[in-house]
Amino acid sequence: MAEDRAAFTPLTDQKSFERAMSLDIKDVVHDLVDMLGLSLVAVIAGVGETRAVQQWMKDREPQRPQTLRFALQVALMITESTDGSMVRAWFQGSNPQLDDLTPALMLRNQPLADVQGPIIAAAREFAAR
Amino acid sequence: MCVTESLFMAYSLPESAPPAFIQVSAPLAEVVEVYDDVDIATADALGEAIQRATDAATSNQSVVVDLTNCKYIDTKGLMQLTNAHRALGKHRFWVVMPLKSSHRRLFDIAGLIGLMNTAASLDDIPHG
Repeated sequence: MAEDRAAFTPLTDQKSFERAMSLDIKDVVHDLVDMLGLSLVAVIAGVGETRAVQQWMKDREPQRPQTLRFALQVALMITESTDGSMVRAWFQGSNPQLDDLTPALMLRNQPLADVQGPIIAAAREFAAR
Repeated sequence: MCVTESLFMAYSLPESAPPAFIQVSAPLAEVVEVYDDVDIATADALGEAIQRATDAATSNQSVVVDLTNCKYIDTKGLMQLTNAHRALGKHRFWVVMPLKSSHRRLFDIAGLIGLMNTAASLDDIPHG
């Protein structure tokens, strides 16, 4: 998937889901780090240091792979070209559609099943603007 | 992995994640990036994160607390920063917050501007 990392284009709901679910978890982490940066991936994944994220790109399994796949799915829905700053801002910002909560912290602190629906809805709304 | 296991993984409750204080190793500093609110519930965790960064830092590295992504910090958080400043000294401890950050007013009221090293970004921290 290295050739796909140079640029990310927004994908439809279905395509983003398919890509996020079909990639090897190492590639999921790689793509997320490319778009969001090591620190934000660490926030989403629930860990306390970026070293853990770097290890997932080598030979370790993350503790919450489904959360990371979901984060990639959402990121792929809202990304615009190669500018990752907008995607990072979306994950870090207080979102009015999410009761002013921050998507990254929602993914970190709440069960995935509880936050998937609201976050996907917010991402769809943003992608459709 | 069978279907049952994958469903369990998708829907099981996560272990409680610690507050989002992320330690980042940079060439000249060990950085604690703060993404969560710092208040009475999380201030001790910030202190622990700063201690881990301090333990990891070499003698050539500073310890930096980056408040760029922190939306709220109260006096409990300031106490942790003050403790770190006392322990590490002015030459090794920095706090990063953007120039227009609301935290600057809190630091000013608390008399910490000028006492504690602050910078608008990591790039603004002098080294060596």
